[in-house]
Amino acid sequence: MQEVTLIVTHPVGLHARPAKELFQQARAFKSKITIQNLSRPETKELPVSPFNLLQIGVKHGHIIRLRAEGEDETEAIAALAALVQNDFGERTEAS
Amino acid sequence: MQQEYHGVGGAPGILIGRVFVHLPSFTTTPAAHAEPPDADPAATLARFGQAQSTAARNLEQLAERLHAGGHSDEAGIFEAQAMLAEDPTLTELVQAQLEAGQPLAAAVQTAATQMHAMLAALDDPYLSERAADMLAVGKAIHAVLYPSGSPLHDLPPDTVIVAPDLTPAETTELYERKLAVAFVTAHGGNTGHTAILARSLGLPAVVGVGEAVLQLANDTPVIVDGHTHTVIVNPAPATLATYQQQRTNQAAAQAYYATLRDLPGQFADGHRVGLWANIGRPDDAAQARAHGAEGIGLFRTEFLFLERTTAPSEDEQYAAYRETLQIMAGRTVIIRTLDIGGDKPLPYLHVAPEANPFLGVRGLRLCMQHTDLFQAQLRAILRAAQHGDVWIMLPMVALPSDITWAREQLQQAAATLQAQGVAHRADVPLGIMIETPAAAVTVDVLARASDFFSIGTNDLSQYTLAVDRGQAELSARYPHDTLPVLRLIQQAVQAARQAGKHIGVCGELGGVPELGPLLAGMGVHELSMSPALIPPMKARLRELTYAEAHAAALHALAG
Repeated sequence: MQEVTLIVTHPVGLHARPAKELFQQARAFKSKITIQNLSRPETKELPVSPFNLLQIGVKHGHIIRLRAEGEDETEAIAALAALVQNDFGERTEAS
Repeated sequence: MQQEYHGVGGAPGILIGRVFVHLPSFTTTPAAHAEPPDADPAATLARFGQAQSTAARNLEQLAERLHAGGHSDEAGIFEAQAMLAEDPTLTELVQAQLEAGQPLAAAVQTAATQMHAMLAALDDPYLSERAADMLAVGKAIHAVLYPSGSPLHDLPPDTVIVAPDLTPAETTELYERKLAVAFVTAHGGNTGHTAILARSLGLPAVVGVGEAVLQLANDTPVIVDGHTHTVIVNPAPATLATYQQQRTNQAAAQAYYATLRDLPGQFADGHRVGLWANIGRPDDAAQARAHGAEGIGLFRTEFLFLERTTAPSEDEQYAAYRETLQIMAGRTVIIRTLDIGGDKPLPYLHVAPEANPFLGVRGLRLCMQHTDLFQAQLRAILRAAQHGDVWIMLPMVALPSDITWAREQLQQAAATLQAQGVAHRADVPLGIMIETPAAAVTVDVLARASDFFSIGTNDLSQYTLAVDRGQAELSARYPHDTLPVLRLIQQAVQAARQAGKHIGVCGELGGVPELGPLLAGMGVHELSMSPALIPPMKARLRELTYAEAHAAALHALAG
């Protein structure tokens, strides 16, 4: 099992396009991938899906933990962490 | 007998028509009832899976059509729903229902309702609106499985749809089929999907009128008045006649305004006066364009700073400014830097209590005490400046030293971005609002340091007349358009024009039908106002010559 803890810096949080990107990238891996919003302690650890991302309400500045378990767990966590850290591909545009 | 219902909000416009009560339910369609019980849950689940994909594709296509029509915010609703249509949780819940022996139509309804309840239980206003999305997704899939199900087909024109609430897809479908319709909903608020969509699509609506309205019989005569949020059932002949006249006038005016939309603001003789818009958030820019705004004369940035516990980040501000500039597609956008004071304290900005906040640390003065905040805003604007024509405007300037300080800050912001290797533009015009009498009488001097001017008439009159705008009785006795204020404006306009600098008006006076032409007659380059005020002002200016407006201005200034 691999995991990473990240701060979400995208202005809209994990909604709309960022949520779509995260879900689509996570789906491309064979590993089972889950997410937990540590900034909302009342929410559970859940598989990454559009509905679950809605349920855990990740806003700008929230801290999330991603976990992957499976044959490509290392690659999955690396790719998803990079996605979140680069503001879902929007950061490069500004620099 | 005539009867009235009042709503909590809606969308402007008047429709005189007949009631159609729309009580949507997942299971009322004949096809769903007639369906034989399915012996093979696996085959049924596969059929559901196909319906999920088709519904998702339909919703995406709807989003694309809205994008193409310039309704990007509305498109976002359907993009999110398209994603939810294929959500694994939905599939799992439907599968569980099927395995428990439920027919497919009921399984879809139960699953969507369960997911709706999960979000609604989270007690977060944003999520409860998204909860409604879940029901809409369920209905979209249901409509694919049982295509005859939509009762909104084949409605006669002038139908007033009365419903508990409507899904965004239903609202949009009615709009796309160009039916003359209006909505009345029992539930929903002024900021819900139905009201926002109706306003954006130009359909009259009244929302939140209460459950009683659902008891009305179909074909009952009804008037929907979206301006006053009123629904009049069985109108008396006199009421009907009044509204018919109003509707005729409104239709004629709207048709005429539509022909002016892409024409510039000008007098009958061709003398140009820019008609720009005042906006408070990026979404408003689309509204401004729809009303034919030639630029943004005042983009208030306070929305980024209010109702939160920490200051907005540079990136968050950059995204908002960039979005606005992109919507305005090359037209000028004047961004006003943060303009708040002790009357509206922010949790993350300490302002010592003041006896007189309107004469205290506000606007630019507050930024002088919080240079980090000011720097972040300036950097965000300079970065966004790559995406359009942005000008920076400073609020609450009294002396030239205010501008000198801000100019140094702007240079510092550009230097920081340069050092970090972040793409930006440094050659952004820096101007001021004229809202203190001090600034109004020294425009010739301020023009050495300021690239442009915009008159904030609300504060200028408050500071000139020494009248608190919040005091209704005093304000009535000392109106904004009184002689001393007009003379100060005239003095400022003349000085700016002599210095060859752009000068506009972004206060409320500029949007008042009688006063806009007067100000234009004094020689202002641009009038900036609420988007909805632009079309009537454009029409009004075209009825007058500049000479007539100038004569009227001179007459008013003579006292």
